[in-house]
Amino acid sequence: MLTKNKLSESTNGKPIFADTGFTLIHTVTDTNYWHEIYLWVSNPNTFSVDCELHFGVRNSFASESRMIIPPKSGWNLFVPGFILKKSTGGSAVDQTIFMNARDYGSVYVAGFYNKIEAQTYTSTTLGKYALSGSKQIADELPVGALIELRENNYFDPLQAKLTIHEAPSGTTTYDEVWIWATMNQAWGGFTANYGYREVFLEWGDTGSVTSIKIPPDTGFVPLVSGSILRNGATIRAWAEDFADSELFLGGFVNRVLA
Amino acid sequence: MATFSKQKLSASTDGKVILVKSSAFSSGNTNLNMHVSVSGTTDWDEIWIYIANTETTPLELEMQWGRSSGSTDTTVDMYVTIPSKSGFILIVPGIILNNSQTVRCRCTTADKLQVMGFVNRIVA
Repeated sequence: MLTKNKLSESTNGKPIFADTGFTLIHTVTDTNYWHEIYLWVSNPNTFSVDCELHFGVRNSFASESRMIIPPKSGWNLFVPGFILKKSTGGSAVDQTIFMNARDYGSVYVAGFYNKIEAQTYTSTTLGKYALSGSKQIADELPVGALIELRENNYFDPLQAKLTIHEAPSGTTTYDEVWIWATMNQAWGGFTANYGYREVFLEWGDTGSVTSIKIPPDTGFVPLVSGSILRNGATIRAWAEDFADSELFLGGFVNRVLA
Repeated sequence: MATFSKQKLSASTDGKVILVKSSAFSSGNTNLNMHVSVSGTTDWDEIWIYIANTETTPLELEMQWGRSSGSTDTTVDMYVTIPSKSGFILIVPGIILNNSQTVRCRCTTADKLQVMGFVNRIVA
C-alpha cells in the first residue's frame, strides 16, 4: 500500500524557501516504511544558484550533491524517487534532508514522498528495497542513505571497492537496479578535467568494470537504469585516485519475479 | 485505502486549455487561478500541468504555488521561459497541494500561453 504525503517542512504542499545555510526540508522517522522522495528546485533569481543537498543520516550538515539551478528555469528535478527510512539500530537517528543555497542565493523546494511499506531486507517479497550498501554507519541495516565512495588507493586497492548491492540469492527473483552518481565538488575551472570525477562500477563480475566521469554541479547522474541481477551477484564501486569523500551513489532496487 | 480520481484543473472547462492572463499578482485577480486544490488537509491533489506557447517569441511564465486564490501576494515561486511553438511542455510533474491552496500563473503577454493539465485527487 502506498500513500502520498507532503514533505515534513512543507505546509499544505507549498514550496519551502531555502537560502544560504542548511534548511531542513524533510525528516524521516518511520522505521517500517520507506519514504520515496521526489524534490524539485525553483530558482526565482536572475542569477544561477549553486544548491547543496544533504540526503540521509551521515551528518546533520553535509554536502553530498551539488547542482547549479539556472535562473528562472522552472521546477528542476533534484531527487528522483530515492528511498529513506530510519534504522531500528540502537544508535539510529532520524534521517534528514537539508538544502543549502550557497553564496547568498535562495531557492524554493517543492516535492512529496510516497510512503511504502518496507519489507525485511532479506525477504523475497516483491517490492522496493534499498541498495544493500546504503547503511547507516555502525549499523547493519540498509536505510537508503547515499553511499560515499572511496578513492582507488594505489596502496590498498581492494579496500576502495565497496559493495554497493548484493542481489537476492536464488534464481526466482531479480533485483531491478537503479543507481545514480553525484559529487559534492564545484566546477574545477580550466583544469585538466574541469572538476569531473570518475566512478568505476563492477557489475556482477570482476571482469565487468565500466566507468563514467561525473561532472560537478549537476546533481544526480543516471548510472544504472533498471538493469537486473539475481543469484547473489554483487555490484561494487569506487572512485578515481584523490576523490575520497567526493562521490556518492544513490538508488534503490525493485525486487521482481524472475 | 486511498482512492484516486482524475479531475480537470478547476479553472478549465471540460479539460480545455486555460489562457494565461497578464494581470499583476498584486491585483488579486482570480483569473490568474489555474487550480484551487482540494479543501482540508486530509486529501491531496497531485497536479500535472503542461504549457504551450503560441506566440512567435519565447514567453516567460510566472507561477505562484500554494498561495491563496485572490491573494495580492506578489511573490513568484517559479519562473520558466516557454519556447515558441514547441508543443505542450511539462511544467508541473505531479507535485501535490491541498487545503484550498492555489496554483496561479501570469505572463506579461496575455492569452498566448495555453495551460493544459489534470489533477489526480487522492482521497484518504
